[in-house]
Amino acid sequence: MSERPSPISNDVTALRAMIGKRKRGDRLFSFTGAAFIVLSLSVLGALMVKLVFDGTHRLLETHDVRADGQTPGYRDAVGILSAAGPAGTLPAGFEVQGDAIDLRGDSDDMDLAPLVGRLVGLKGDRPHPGNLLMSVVSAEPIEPLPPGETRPGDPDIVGKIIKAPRGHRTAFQLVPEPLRILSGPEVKNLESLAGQRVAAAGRWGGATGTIKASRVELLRNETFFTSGTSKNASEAGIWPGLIGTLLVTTITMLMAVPLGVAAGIYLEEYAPKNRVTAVIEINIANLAGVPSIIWGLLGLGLFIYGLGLGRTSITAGLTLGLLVLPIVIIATREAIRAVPNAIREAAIGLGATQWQTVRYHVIPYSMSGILTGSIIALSRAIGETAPLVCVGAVIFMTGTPGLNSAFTVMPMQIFDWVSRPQREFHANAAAASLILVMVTLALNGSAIYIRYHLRKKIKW
Amino acid sequence: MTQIDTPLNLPAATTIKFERDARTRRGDYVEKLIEIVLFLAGFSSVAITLGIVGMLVWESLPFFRQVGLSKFLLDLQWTPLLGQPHYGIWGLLSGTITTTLVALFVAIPVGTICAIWLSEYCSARLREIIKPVLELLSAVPTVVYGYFALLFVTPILQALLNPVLQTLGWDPLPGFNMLSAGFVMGIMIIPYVASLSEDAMRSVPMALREGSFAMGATRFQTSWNVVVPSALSGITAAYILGVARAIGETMIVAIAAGNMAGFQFNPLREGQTITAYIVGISKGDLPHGSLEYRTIFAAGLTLLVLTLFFNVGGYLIRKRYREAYT
Repeated sequence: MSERPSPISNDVTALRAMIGKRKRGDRLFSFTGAAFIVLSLSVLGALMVKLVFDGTHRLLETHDVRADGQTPGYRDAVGILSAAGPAGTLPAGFEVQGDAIDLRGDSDDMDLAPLVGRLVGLKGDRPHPGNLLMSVVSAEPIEPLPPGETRPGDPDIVGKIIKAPRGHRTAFQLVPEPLRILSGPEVKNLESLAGQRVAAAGRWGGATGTIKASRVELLRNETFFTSGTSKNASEAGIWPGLIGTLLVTTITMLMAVPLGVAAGIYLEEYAPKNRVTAVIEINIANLAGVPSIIWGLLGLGLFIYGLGLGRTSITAGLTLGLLVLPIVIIATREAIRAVPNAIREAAIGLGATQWQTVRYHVIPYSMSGILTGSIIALSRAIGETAPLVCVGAVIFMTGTPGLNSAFTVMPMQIFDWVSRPQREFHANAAAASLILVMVTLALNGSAIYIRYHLRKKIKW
Repeated sequence: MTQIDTPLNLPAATTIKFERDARTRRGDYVEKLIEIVLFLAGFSSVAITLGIVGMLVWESLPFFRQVGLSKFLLDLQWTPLLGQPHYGIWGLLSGTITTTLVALFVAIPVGTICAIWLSEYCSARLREIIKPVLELLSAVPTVVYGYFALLFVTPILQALLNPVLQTLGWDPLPGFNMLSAGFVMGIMIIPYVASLSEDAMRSVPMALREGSFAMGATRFQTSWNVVVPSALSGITAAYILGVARAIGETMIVAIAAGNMAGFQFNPLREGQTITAYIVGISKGDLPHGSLEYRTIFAAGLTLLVLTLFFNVGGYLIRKRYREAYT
């Protein structure tokens, strides 16, 4: 140990050095602390940037869907129907405008430059790097064929051409636009389709853009928000999850808020100070710390096999209701505890019964705290995944989930998408995560705002 | 005959009865009824706890009867789905312990330093803003953190660590690893550690700090030598509650840590925690009553016992320190 200068000594420089060292240490820590806070918060920033970077494009993209909501298969032409034969008959021919360009045939000397950025299909070998740069959207046929069978016209790769030198020779046949559409019920009344975006099956009629159609179907333009899960990443969306989350959290809140507020009122206003109350109090503190997955097991054992409610939205809502109950109870108790006793004494002094005191004085004054707690509980319920895996949230869902039917929620879809090896699905996960994070941060932000604002406003 | 109507001029038989009207009487019943309803609501939490414990014990009892407690606690392998099944909880527990330790390695230093800074250095105004924003870190859905761990943190760790691992002659960091899952989990529990520690530090009486300042100590010396030791029980409670949080965390490890159960504590490897196992198995369709179905309840019971131990410990320590200065 080095010899330290005695504080009593008259050696002023040594003393100054010691004080300076201590002050530097202080400043260093002040800096470190602030840096750690900034670092922790920057993780949140990095998370948001990553999600925006990976997922935003999925929120903006659209894709074609058949009238029955199914993913369309490959077709010969996609376009806007400009003329159609009489109702009930198949057209002798109709014009296809716009998107469909006849690119088939010998494309050896084709000028690819105008196609840059557009979705095309390629038939042939995979492009040699440098010849034709493509960002491959999908490398597999969207409508799988039986093994060994090929269908003329089906592209081997569908993607966007990023770069194509003018007049470059390629070993590829180009196939028109997103050649994937329909095979469902026939649309009889073609006149009603005039001007609509349709897909047609039939024989391609050459550069004029006319085709002999054997089948025509109306296409719907879908977005990430309006479509269900799909084997094809670019056609998958969060509709079932969105509705499922809405249903499940509604049930959750309907259960947790009344029960939690009632329990909080009992513990603060009615409960005698005895052993039973003490047990309930420790118990609630513990329940708040029970891992979420355990609640899922409770839901599985109690609601599904015990009460026979099945793997439904109701089961999920009740399970999450139990999960967030401690949050609501604790928030309610804190809010009620902040109401000064003078309020209660005044009410009782005027002849109010205990319930009247609670109903007309204590609850209104603690409303903001209860609201804050409920919002926090809601945000927790929206993001919760693990317990819902246990109570059977499904992975693949195209329709809209109902109350008493199979369900899925947004976090479950994210979990599924992120667990898949394909990068395209990761983009979906990022897009859905972005929505989820925005919602939870907005809820938490509003809770913070309410708490902060009312604390400033109410002065006892 | 005129009769002057005075209150005293009453027939002898009349007695004054304070008869409470029907409304008030009904009110009495309602009052009692409300109290009973509220009591039931309050008691529901106890019922829920009993339900959880009862459920886990009831569903896992056949498992323990069939496999045996000694095999469950002493076997080091967890391979319930193989032809030669092993049911040693250590195969999963080792993953839980490893990820939890990594998480604490991140959360304890960062959380404590943040707490000291917030409590001792930061102005009250700034603290009012920073604390809730910091708490947003634990509001992010864990499945989103899972995405972040798998697709952001892991690639960065791979880029940073793989050259080092290569020169050491070790295997490169796999795409699923406990290090990245534990790291992100640590970030998630920073607010718990920081917030609870900061509460503990701020409840240290001002007089102790003033005494230290009067002796010429700097803020850092005061924080480190006076405030932190005084608030140690509260800080410990914060750490313990952080441990409980990390043990129970599910989605981050289920997504980013892989699903290979094995008795090993190397965070650079794939691993499976108790929670990740339950999620992984639940994703499939398990026949009700099968031994595989029972395993998730046995694993859940282990998890509950572990977290209960840490939660009760944290609660008791916190309660004690709260009483220390009030």
